[in-house]
Amino acid sequence: AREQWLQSRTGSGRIQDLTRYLYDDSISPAEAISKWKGNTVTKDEEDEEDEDDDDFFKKADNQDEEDNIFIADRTLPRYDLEKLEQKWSEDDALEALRRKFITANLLDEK
Amino acid sequence: MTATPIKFSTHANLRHRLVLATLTGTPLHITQIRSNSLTPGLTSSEFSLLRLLDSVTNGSFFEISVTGTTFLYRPGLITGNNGKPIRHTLPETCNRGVTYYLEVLALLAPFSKSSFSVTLDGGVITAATDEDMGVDTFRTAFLPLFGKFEIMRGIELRILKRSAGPHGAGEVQFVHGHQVRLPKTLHLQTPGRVKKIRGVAYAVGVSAGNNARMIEAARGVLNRFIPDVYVFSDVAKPQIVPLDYGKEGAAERAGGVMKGRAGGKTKKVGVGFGMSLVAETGTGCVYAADATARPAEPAEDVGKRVAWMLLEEIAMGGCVGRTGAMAVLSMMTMSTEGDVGRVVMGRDIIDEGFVSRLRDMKMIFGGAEVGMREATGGKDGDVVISVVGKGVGNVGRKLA
Repeated sequence: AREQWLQSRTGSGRIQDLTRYLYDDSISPAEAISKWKGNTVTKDEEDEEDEDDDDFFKKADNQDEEDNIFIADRTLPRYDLEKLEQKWSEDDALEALRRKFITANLLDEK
Repeated sequence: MTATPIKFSTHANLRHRLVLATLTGTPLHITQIRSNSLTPGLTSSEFSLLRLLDSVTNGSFFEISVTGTTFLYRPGLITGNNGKPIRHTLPETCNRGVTYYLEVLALLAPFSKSSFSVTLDGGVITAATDEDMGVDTFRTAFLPLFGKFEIMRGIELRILKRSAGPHGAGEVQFVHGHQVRLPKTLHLQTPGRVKKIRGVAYAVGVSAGNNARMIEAARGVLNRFIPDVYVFSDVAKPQIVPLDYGKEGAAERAGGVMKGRAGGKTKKVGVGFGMSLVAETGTGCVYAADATARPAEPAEDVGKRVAWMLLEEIAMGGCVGRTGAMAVLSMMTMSTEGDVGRVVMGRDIIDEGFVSRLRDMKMIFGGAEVGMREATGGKDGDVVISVVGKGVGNVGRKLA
């Protein structure tokens, strides 16, 4: 369960890879992240991003929607409730999280 | 002060950019604000933010285009109205939670010439909205972050009237009496383990039973990890306002007179309930989650939802939760010149919004890049973010 948990929360890329794109203004923030995360991005998502390449944020026609996290200037993160419910109703995920609490038994782990 | 303004387009990260510009005294020129939208230009909430900035600074200059899609901002000195209390009325149509403004104030106040006392009234939504955290999270999870920079005295948020969305009529008072020259260089590298969970459940104008139900549902999720879960229950009355409250233009027609407005007919606003949960670790790091009930959402669902969100935040790890990450990084950049501060953050905090904000910081501070590396011995894949202080500090205090 722990391996699974680690797998799920770490992106595939190392953080050093991100620092290469972080301040490269020729790459949009979304692209920088997807490059860093490597192959976690599916093909058609990548295509979409290529289109958006030069207008930096998004296509003009859907600007009213403001679904983009940094366009909306929000503080609270956005949650996908269905995923959340699915994730936290599994015993494995819950038990894996236990090590973040003081009630965890550290002796068992090592 | 004839520095060439830094140019940005769209209203993305508007608050963050305005705060950084005000702190560093850098002029901003923002264009293409909702230029393709059906309602172009700044919203009334954003206009109100500019007005608020104007009233806590001295000598700020705004030049807004007729359509509101472009504006120029030359920040003045942060004076906090020389310590005199400020009352700022938000528009009735304000669709952002009051923490939208409070976060800005909390970042500016430490660098003010004199103490802050700002009362916000009008369309104040104290509950969480979709975008903004509730006042309880702000008070229990956001303000304590400044304690890590040794900014902790005389800081208080008084919740005078509670109100939920979509049209709020609450009132809060923000007092900040600890002004510093420079914030302390931060070294925060041990996230620790969660030792207790606290929270506030609030019900405005609805049965207090909703609170009990939310709390029970949340405890059902959280108690398997930790028995120390205590959620405070706050029951408040709704606000009675004129019948046309929150309608476009109603406030202007009334001209500030609330009595007898709409022919004396009234209604209740701000009815709703929600919950804010905060998990604290042994090393004093906090994670927070916050939500208000959607229309017709049962209290149990809200409780569970917030508990799950909290678990998600805890799973992300790091010393700073997502809600406070940018504030902490901004404060670190303000600290002593040349000193390197370090903070451990969860890897999942880094998303495109995060990257774009870091780029803004670099633009406005003139080359403040952060360093990132894996946390040593971190089996969680946490990331150490190191920030070199720019020593901007408190301009008002430098002169004094």
